[in-house]
Amino acid sequence: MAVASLRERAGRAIVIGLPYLWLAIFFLLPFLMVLRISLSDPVTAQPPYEPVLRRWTSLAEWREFLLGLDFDNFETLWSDDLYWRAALSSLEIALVSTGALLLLGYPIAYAMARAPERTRPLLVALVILPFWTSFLIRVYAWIAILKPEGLLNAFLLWLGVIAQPLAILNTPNAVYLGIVYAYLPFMILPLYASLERLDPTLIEAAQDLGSTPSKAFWTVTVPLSLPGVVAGALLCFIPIVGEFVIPDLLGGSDTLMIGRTLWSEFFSNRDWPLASAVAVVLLLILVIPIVVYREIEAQRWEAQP
Amino acid sequence: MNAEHQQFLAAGQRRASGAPLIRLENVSKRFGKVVAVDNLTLTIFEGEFFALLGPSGCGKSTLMRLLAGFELPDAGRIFLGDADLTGVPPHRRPLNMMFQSYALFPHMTVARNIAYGLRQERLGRGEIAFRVQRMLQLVQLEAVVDRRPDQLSGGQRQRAALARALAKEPRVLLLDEPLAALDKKLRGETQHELKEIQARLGTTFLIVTHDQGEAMSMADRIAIMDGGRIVQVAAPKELYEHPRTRFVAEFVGDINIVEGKLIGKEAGDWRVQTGWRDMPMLIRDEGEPLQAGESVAVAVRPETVTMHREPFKAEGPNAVAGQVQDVGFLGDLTLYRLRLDSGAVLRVSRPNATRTVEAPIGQGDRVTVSFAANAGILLRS
Repeated sequence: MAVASLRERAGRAIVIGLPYLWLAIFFLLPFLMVLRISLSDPVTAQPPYEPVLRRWTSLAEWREFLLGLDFDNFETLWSDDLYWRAALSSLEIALVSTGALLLLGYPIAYAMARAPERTRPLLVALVILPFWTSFLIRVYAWIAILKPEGLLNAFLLWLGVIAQPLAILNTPNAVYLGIVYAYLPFMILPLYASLERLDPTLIEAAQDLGSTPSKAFWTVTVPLSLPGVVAGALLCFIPIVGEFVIPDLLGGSDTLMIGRTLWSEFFSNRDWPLASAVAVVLLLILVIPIVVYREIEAQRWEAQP
Repeated sequence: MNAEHQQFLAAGQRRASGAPLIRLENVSKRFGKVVAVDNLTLTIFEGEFFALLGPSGCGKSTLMRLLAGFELPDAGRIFLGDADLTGVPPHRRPLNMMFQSYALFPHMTVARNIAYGLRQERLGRGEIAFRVQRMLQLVQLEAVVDRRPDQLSGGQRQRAALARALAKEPRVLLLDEPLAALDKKLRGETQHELKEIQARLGTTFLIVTHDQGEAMSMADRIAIMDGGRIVQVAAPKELYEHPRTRFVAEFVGDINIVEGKLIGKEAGDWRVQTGWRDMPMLIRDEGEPLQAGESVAVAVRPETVTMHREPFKAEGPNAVAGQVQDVGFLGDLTLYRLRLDSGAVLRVSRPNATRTVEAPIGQGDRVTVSFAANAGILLRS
């Protein structure tokens, strides 16, 4: 009996330990490496930063290595307002896009969840269908649609709605359009999952108790789909903040985003330490709200007996 | 306890004496090709405990959803008192429903669930709190007001759903299989409670159920439904003792049925040739318009048959001999399955009135059975 329980415990430890091991190797370790680079100074060398720990044995080496680390890069981030503006602009774009995604995604997910049961798998497949094509190609396709002599302008000119081609490409509007397009499935799917689970008799009960259909929607459907709203919003907001490809391809030079800044520091300026510092700050910006949210959620659940 | 019980019994004996409250006139509802409710007309009276009873798929749930307003009839009209309810949306109907799944709002506490309907009426805070408190007392849930539905037991959920539906003081309470999700012991207690609450409030209760015992023990009147139509509407006793069709006879309680042919009348009884006996049997004529020569079914409840072990010979026109094939001991009753000498099967039940019976009738014993002329029911085939 005792032996069995020991084996059981060992088995459980392995099952729980494996994902932690995975996270440690592929997430924590790389992050520590980035953190360590962010504390170094850039040099024209291979690798392009200093100090580097060459021998692990001597204490003096360690001492020299540790003394070589400093927070200069973070000070640069703080003092140069380019990084501030990029971060704030990223947050703004992510916030507005997430709002737009929610407004667009909720009705779609709701309609899917209310569709006849037979057609629902087809609708889900249609939402996922764009993933069969490369993300990059789909964003390039938007260039073809949005450029001055592109499909959209040609169509609007043909309709006679406009006399001159609209300048959409290389503006913030194009970035918003591209982001909303690319992230819509990530918003729809969690919303659909929570709306589909919702028991329709709850809506009937609300109406039976005197709620108009719209009141029933706001007092029953919306509160019960809130986990889906939060999941969808986080799933979109977090990657949008760090988004690089869409602003790079569709946005103009004035579309400032932190992901793009990171890219240019890393590849154009070859300033790995500063780029790493940007990455660390970006991570902190995104992790803090998630931790706070989780904490609030946990308290809310515990508060109820 | 005693006074309470007396009151309960008095309530149970009360028959509908109020004015007509719900009237359904020639109501039909189709889903595609399936006719769920077929040209149905029914009146339910004020203050009545009314049961819709039938097998699954008989249209009873559709009828309830038509009353609640979740479905609209294809034809016919529905009245509540003098008001025509036919096209009124569910949220403006002065009746409330207790759902089979209870449909309690999982994100609200018991108190908030009960208050939900009252808040839609824009009542004052004090008034809502007062009425919620009264409902909590009625269903004895004061101890768990602040719990959410997933923290309640099955019985508590059932009470919370009842309180929520009653909080708005509806003119009619619709109960869709209210006891189906409870275990058997709890179901018995809850039947009494429902009956008691109905008697205390005087609200008209309309219950949908497939469980005849449930309908019999609670309802003042029962409507038996089959294939979207109402087959018979009567008080439980009437329904049991005078079923009008073979379907009703077989659906309500246990019964033996045999095909027969009417031969002629004899001093208020019909002489019927059946497959149970070579000689004709005598069945009381209850004024049904029947003709000699007509094919009928003779129905006899197992508990109305008397049984003796041979060599005792039962006399009379309804005496038959046979052999015990199977004995089922149910505790309060013992059920015997007999093979009659004619080859037919007859079920007989006897109450176990004494604790130990010496030499009980057992498997393989030869017996004679008989029943009174008025125990038999003649049903048109």
